[in-house]
Amino acid sequence: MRVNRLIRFRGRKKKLGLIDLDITSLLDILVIMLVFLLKSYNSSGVVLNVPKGVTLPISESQAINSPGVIVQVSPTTIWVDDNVIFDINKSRTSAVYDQGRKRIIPLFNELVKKRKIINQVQKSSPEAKKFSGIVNLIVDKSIRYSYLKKLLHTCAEAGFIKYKFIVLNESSAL
Amino acid sequence: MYRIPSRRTKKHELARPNLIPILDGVFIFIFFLLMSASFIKIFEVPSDVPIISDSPPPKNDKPPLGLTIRVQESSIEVLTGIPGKIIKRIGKVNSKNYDLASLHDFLVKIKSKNINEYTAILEPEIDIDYQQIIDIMDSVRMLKNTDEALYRKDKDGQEVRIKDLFSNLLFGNIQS
Repeated sequence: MRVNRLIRFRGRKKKLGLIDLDITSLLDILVIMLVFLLKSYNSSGVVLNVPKGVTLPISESQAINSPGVIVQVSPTTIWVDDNVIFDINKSRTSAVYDQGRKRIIPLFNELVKKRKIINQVQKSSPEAKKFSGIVNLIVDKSIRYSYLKKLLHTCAEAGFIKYKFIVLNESSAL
Repeated sequence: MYRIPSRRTKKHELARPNLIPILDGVFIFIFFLLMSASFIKIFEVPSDVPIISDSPPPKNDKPPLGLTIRVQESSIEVLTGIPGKIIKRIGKVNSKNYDLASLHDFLVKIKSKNINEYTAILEPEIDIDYQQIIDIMDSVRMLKNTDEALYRKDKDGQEVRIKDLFSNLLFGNIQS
């Protein structure tokens, strides 16, 4: 104590040694997190947005998603690539269907537009992907077959001939 | 002679590996995985549009199976051949749900006799909901681990285990 108070030691601070951090527990957490994230890694690269009001049906399927145009359908609304194209509360029902109420006009128009864009991109760039005709259908599980039939018919009329019904895996639903 | 070890002997410290670059890498990896992680397991059930062709069918010795699953109000009918003949009628287990386990078992029997056939036509004739359609599709499309093991010969003559039942499922009445 006395030594430290001496004038010649004034201003000289005692050098602190490097603190030896134990990072074993941190590494343990990181490894657990890595394993968990690797298990939930989405290898398909397809990002599917399930809108509010849509509950996906449960299935045993393990087929990985394919890239394509996304059609989301709730009991009241239809989206194409996250853009609302038909809302039952805002649109007049009489101007929605044609071909004997088999085809949904706003959906057909939007899908044709999408197809044209894909074809234009394909023409302008040789490396662009060809039009695959895939449509990812994110449909609410309460939708009736009579309405689903209209959706499928409309997609087929617009040139989308490969349906991919998006489903929830049983283990996720638990 | 035994001596008490001196306290002055230098302690050998364990050499510690430098973990900083590994930690940097792990952190970057975690961020990448966090960005591409999907916490809800979403898959797809594929189906194609049935294509009607005017050209004559290819000449085969074996007639096509023409498997059709027709969903009626009280039962599911299994039809084969062209035109389709009902070979099995499967009822319901309760007022709402069909006996899909029986349907699946019956389809496994058909598959065992038609190993190279993958196509089936689904024709719901009543207004069932989407979840029920997916349930029926699952029982028609997929072989379960508990099912009888089915094998087919590949190009090299090796026997390969079949993983799918009738995976090429088409909707037969979307234009009606």
